[in-house]
Amino acid sequence: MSNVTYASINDDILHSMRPPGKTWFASMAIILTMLGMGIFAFGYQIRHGMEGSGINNPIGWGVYITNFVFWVGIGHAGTLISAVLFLVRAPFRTSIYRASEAMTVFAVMTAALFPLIHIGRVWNFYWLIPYPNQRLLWVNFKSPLLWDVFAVNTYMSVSILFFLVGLVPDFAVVRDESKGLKRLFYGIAALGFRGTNHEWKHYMRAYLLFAAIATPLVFSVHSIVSWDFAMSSIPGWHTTIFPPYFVAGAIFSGCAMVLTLLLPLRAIFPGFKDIIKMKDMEAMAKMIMFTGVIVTYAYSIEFFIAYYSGAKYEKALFWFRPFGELKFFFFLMVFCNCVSPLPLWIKKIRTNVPALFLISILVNIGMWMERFNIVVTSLAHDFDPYAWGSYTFEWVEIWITIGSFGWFSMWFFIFVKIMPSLAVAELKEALVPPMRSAHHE
Amino acid sequence: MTRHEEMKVILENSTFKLSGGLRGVLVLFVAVGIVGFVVGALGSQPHLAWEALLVNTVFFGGIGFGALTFSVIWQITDANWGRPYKRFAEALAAFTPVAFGLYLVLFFGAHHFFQWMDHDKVIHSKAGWLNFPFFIERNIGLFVLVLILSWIYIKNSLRPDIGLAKKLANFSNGFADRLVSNYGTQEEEEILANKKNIRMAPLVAIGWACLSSLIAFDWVMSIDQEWYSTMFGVQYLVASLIGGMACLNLISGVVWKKFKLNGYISVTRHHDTSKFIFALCLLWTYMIFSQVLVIWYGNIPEETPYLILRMQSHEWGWMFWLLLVMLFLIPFFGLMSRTACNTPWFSRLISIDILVGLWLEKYFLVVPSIQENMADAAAAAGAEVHGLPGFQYNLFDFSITLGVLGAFVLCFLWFLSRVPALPISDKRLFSEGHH
Repeated sequence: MSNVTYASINDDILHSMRPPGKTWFASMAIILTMLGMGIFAFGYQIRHGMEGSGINNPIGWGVYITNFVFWVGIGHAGTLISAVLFLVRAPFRTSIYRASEAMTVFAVMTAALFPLIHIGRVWNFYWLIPYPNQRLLWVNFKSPLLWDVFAVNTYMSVSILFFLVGLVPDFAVVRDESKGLKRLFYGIAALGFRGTNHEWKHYMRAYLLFAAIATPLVFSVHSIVSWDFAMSSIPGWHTTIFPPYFVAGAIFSGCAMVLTLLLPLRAIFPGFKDIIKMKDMEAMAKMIMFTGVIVTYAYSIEFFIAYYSGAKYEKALFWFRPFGELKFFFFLMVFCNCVSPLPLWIKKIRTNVPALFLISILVNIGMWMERFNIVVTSLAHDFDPYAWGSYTFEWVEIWITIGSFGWFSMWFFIFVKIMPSLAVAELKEALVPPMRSAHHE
Repeated sequence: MTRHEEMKVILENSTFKLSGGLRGVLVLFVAVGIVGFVVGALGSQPHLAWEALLVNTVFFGGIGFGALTFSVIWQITDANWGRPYKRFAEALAAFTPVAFGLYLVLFFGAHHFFQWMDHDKVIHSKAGWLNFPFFIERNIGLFVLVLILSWIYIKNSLRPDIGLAKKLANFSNGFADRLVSNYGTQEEEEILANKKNIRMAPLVAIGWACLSSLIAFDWVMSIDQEWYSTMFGVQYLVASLIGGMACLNLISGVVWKKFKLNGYISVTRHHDTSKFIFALCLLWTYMIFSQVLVIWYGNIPEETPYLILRMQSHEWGWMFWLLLVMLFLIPFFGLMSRTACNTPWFSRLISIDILVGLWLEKYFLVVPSIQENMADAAAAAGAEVHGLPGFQYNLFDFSITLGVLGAFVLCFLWFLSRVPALPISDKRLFSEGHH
């Protein structure tokens, strides 16, 4: 941190918020095209129904639910990094937590779209929510799908609030450095924060409490998502390890996504390399190693118990996954999630940017495949061979998936330009305060 | 004071000899345990003695490895707060070879636990896993492997400390001397040991994760050969971690005063152990809740009988709620406030509650299944069975628990009296004032 000072942090981070250049606009054009594809495909789906998706009978849950679980999973690392690592006083979180929290918020915003896309008649989406009505029709409170509505909404509100609370002192920094209308807007966002002792004291207390409230949510959301599957009695879905296994998988994919986003961010903006140190990236890589081992353990135990249970349906399904017609997706998952993080055990690879970036992308692919495997293979081969089926991807769902990446990236690109993407105040905490009398260059 | 002088003071304060009186009491405990076990095993109801031994072996063996896991975690991560507890964690693991010995003994009583040892009763589709020769092979094989890994890890961790202790205070005893043969310069040894253990630590952690699953599946879950739960191994692993941390919390309160470790073990460090227990108890509850909810909601006949027996039967149902109180409600509300975590007598009281709760948890997982197996066997023999005996504590439970507890504490003290009680060569060990 030798060449990083209070002033250089301000400069570097505010520099990243300058009006965007050509690269930004070019990237945004690609992103908006992707989003446009998604919106077009969704429009087509509204007009023509679900025929454009691969969903069929018996596979009633397909790419949309896979995407939903995938994006909720991505949204986990942010809260883990900002809340859990804050509580355990892990210093490496400071430089990366703002961007990963933003990632969380946008990922959950993306995830929340998919149940709506999946339900088909999207104009009836409010049926998901319990509301008083004349006919006393209520949602099914016993259904894990409804628990999910609550879990995801709670998670989304808390992570947005936590995100904004963390931003308050940093908005104040931006306000102080800007003029005119911009100053007014950032002043409102900063809630008039002036940085007095009194304010800091209450602020830190509030942040700590928020961290404590957000921590259980890291576990609850993905546990409840896993119960969407585990509560049923379908082979391959009904298993007790699902909640912690999903949580570990979510952190696994979330940390990979943090790397996917931050490694380019670090390369693009000057000065970020001094702030987001390789050591912090390495810590993320270690989280990936750790959760990767847990995920591998869970895969193995699932297979073992499928054998040990003696249940023939369970056995048949776990035979179908590696040897059936969807085996490509299974082996892709095993390769990406179990094998590809292994090189990270070597320090040289863990600290090598291209290798890290490549592995993070492979893990993202692998985790998408994992959800696809869980969702589709179990439905394809349940109890009655007469009702077996298979899955083929259709263009509408592919375009919508591409659109979801566009939607997510669009928010992230906007975020980078209008908010400080690194936590100014907390980064300064780690430095020696500048002395007024001391002369520094 | 220079660092070396400080370390010398620590060494002088913390070196102790196991006093005759305490040793006598502990040896007496062990003797009571052995007598209780022999009398029980040769008596008219041998299963009572065997099941008590199984419960205690699973419980204390788990704590030994669980505590070692924390030493491993502190080695892997850069967390500074746990450094003063590292050696105590390793000392708790001194029991693990004894636990291995007890498992070897338990092989001879395995027919009291496992229905599947009978060729006519084993579920045929599971016979590939549930057969006795393979059972012995895999358990011995993995256990020995993990013991070796742990020993190499502990040896590397001890070596530079003993070397430094020798230099500073002429620290010497048979056990310690053997560990520092061919000792190079202090600096080299420290670097080398750290380098070796950075590699060993993940191996030990992975080894214990596998072994804990194997123990949980083989020695506990397979007593009821029909039932299965993918989470069961993780539940045992988490319980072992809670046990290890609860022991460290108890030790922390004692050694703090006794070894005059003020500054090294301080209110904040003790607070951290309490918080860790709090978090782990929540994790345990999460594991239990996830299993119970999935099984209850799924309502599949292979899975539910295990829970019905443990939650709804009048013989055992009450214990489930007792465990929930002991392992969730009491630590949750008890350790929620900062003052509670900070106060050694209070947090230690809760640690004791947790350790008793964890012991009961093992009892609760093992014994009802054995009773059910015996009831099945009696019914098959034509006897009329009216319910299960339920929780009937007996002399064997007490004597054997006392015996294994005695052995556990003896191992701990034996080990601790032969090595420096704090990792004095570790640069990350510092007193609060220096932070």
